Amino acid sequence: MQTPRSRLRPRVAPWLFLTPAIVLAAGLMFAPLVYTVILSLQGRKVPASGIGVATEVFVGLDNYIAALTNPALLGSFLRMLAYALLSVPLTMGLALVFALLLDNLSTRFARFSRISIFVPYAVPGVIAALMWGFMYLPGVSPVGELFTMWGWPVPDPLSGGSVFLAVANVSIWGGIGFNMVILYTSLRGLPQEIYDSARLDGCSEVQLALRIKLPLILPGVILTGLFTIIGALQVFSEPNMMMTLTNSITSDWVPMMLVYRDAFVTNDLYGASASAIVITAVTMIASLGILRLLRNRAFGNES
Amino acid sequence: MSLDTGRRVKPAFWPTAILLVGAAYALFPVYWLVSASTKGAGELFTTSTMVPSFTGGFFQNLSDLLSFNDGAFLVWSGNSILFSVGGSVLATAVAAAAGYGLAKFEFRGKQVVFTFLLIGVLIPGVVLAIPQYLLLSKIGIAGTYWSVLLPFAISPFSIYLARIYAGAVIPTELLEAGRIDGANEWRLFRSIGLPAMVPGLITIFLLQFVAIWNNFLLPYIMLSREETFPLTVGFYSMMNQGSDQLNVYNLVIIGCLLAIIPLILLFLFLQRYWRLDLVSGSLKG
Amino acid sequence: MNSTLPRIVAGTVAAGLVAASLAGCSTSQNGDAAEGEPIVLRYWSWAPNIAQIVDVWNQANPDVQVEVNTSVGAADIVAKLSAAKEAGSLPDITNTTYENLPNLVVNGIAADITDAFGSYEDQIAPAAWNLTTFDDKNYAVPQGTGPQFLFYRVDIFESLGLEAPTTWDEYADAARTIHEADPATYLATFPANDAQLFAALSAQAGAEWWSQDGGSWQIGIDSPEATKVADYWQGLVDEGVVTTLKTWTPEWQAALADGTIASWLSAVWAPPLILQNAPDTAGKWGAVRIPQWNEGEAVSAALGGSGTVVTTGTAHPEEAREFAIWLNNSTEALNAYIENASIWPANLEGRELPGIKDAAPEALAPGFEDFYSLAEEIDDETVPVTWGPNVALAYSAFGDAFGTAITDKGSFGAALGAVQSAVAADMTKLGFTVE
Repeated sequence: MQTPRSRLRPRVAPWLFLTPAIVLAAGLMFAPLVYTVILSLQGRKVPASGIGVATEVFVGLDNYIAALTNPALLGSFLRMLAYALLSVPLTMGLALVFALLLDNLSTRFARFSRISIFVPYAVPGVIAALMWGFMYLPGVSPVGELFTMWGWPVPDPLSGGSVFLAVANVSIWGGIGFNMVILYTSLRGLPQEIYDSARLDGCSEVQLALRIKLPLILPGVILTGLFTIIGALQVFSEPNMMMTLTNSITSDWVPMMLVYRDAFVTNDLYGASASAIVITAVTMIASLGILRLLRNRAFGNES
Repeated sequence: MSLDTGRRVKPAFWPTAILLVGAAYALFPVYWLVSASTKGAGELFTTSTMVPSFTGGFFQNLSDLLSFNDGAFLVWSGNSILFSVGGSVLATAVAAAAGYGLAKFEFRGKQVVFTFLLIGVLIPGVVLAIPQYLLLSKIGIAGTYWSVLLPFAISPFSIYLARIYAGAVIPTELLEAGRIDGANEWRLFRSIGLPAMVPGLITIFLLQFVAIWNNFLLPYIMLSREETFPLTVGFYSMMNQGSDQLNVYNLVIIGCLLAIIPLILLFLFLQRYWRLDLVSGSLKG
Repeated sequence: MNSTLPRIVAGTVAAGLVAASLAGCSTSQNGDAAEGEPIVLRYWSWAPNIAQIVDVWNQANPDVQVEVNTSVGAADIVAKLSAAKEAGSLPDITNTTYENLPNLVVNGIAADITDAFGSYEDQIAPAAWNLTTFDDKNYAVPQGTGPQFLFYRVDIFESLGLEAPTTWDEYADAARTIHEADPATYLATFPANDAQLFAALSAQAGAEWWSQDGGSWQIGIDSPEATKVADYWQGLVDEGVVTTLKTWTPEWQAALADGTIASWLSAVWAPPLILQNAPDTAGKWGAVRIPQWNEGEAVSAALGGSGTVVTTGTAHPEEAREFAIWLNNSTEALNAYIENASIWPANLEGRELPGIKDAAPEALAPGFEDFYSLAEEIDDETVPVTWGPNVALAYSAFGDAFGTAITDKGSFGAALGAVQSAVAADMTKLGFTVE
């Protein structure tokens, strides 16, 4: 008996496999996003002066205008960019260097180093921020103790321009290991025969790494780089934690902190919703733009 | 991996040294955490935190931590395990089905669905948190364990990984042969698809486990009763409760140390399951 | 035959049923009582050891049980209450600081309890009564007041021949002396994260951050009196004789513990906190009135203090009111407080209870046993304060503005101006008339 063509090209089945994911994504990602848009078009008003009870009213685009003309929002974007320009290249660069070094046959203690560098991945962002906070604060820093012992002035990484590097360091520290291991396993998957012939041709290890290995794992580098960039654009917990410890970080230091503060601390859920939509739109456009730019390199034959 | 067995590789100085410096950089704060957790009450700020104390501070801190708020630490740990295991199981199941569906079938709208599922990764958690809370309240489950498990069950990154893996390891010919033989789709998934995907699914499970274990914002917003807090929210509330607790920082430090130990053990003992090559999408068929 | 569909449907339905049933039995959001079962009231409070005090009620009232949730801190409670209100899951009763009460009223969270509490006026300290009453309606049962104190290290002062300062000029001199003697030591810190303290100091100087006139509000955050206070502290910070550590940080805790900071402008509730943060300094602290602007004056503002609110979301308004009033005025509750926590009650009779007046806090040095009598005196000297509906915003703006001013070596006066603009703009946006 001939199998009906519809059996060979199932049409309903794939949708059934996708149903749980679609339902959850719709309910937990898109519905909230839509709800945020709805909230962003509302506001609170008190009917009379004195102390009256506020009611929800429709305010149209007022919140958006306020968000877009808020100098603090622009400031937070710029600071976030400064942070990202430090954290992304350093994280990816160090991850790449370490991965290449690990793949080098002449490296000793490779396994120990690999596991050690991976350990920070186990530490949640808030805890990492607290630990590094202790390291940075001159009054309690063990590094400060060492410096005092050696007669040097105690540094204050959280003051002045170095605050960006100080905050970026927390996520660099946490992110190198994970990215390194991904790139390392990519390298491990490359066929070793290529190297042998290159070495016979007189290629040094460094040239091998840069001219042969790196281009071959470029898709992996781009992919991890992309996720690192997205993470940097959405940075929140590290600076939020450090804000309580130092004067140099304000409650709107990066865009996500501004949204959080408006929604949670100063009780302006509607304004926060508008800021959130603006920020999400910008980060989405930026991320999709970068993705499109690197699309072919990253995904190769994947559609 | 081929290696000329006749050739001895001399250990090189610089690669080893650079990596060891990297290892020191990575481990330094963790060492500090261990050392600081040995400091007893009053010692934390008056002695050097780089040199551990052996005056019984560690055990005192441990017992103070475990008795804090009638054993809140153990309750929080239990919650962390529940959220991490439960959330990861759900996320892996959802991702396995979705990845299989996307990788092994051709249908109209496939690209749209894929984009739909993945775009969620671009929406920041802070933006989603409150509306998720309000919507889940309307259904009446805010504050319950499900209000944390359900959002964790949808992980665009996991779906992406599952799709790549399914596409690479499941031979389409086998599926087609099965269809010709009259097997239904669910049976094909269960007996051919899933078994082949298992190594990748374990990786997805582990990645999601770590992400959930370390997550603070979602449970912080959804949960308001202390008995339901995971460790991350528990520590935060411990630091903000302040007033009557002696030496909160001591407790937070030793608590943090205990909280990261399970994950480190997970790395050390399950190394071979961390098939992170699939993450870079460079699998060879 | 394709049997996939029925099986998947069955699986989904089964999963859904399990989910729904688990969701149902996880928590119940309201304390509805079935027949014969006790009413359960949910109470949010961050007060230390509150569970022990609530226990006293629970044992005496088997038919009305109170379930206390201590995990919501003072900083988050307004936001969490707002979110709970949106979600329809407000607790029955909650703690709040006096500053945040107007916000809770405006947001429809604090219920009007005049019907149950209005008759208590003569039992409550006037300052506390005024902080919880608006338009002659009571919105909270006050728990305590926060008369301000200057806590200072008696040993450090004596070693430098200093006496406790009585005027701000003397305070500045003490700061200079201490810092000169040891450049690693400071009299105090100017914390950008303690807007509450700065507000109290401004009030002492005569500034009114918020005031109402008929239906309209005036905002005096950058009034000349407040600016005077800002300039004073700017002077001390610029001279380098006070430090700028934020309070409640590891650095500050270390500084308090090892004498790097020799004093603390705080209130009656501070001694247990001193013990907690700096246990080795027990018995070394003196407690006096805060310095005055003019010789011979005795004026201060209350610092902190909290009250108990019955929310608009409670299903048991009568029982909730009963509990709220009991918690802050009954002898049993106040005695429980004495045993398990520290309290300076708003209830006037409560202040006469044994255990409050005669026990001087451990942190204090010998010679300061009259701590609570002094507290009572200072209480009577406090200036009345009006809090506006957006105090959280004001405090947050203060932290940002002054943190930036400290980091960039900018002007504190200008920082105050920034806070003023932010607060005024927010109130106008809300629809208040601001002059």
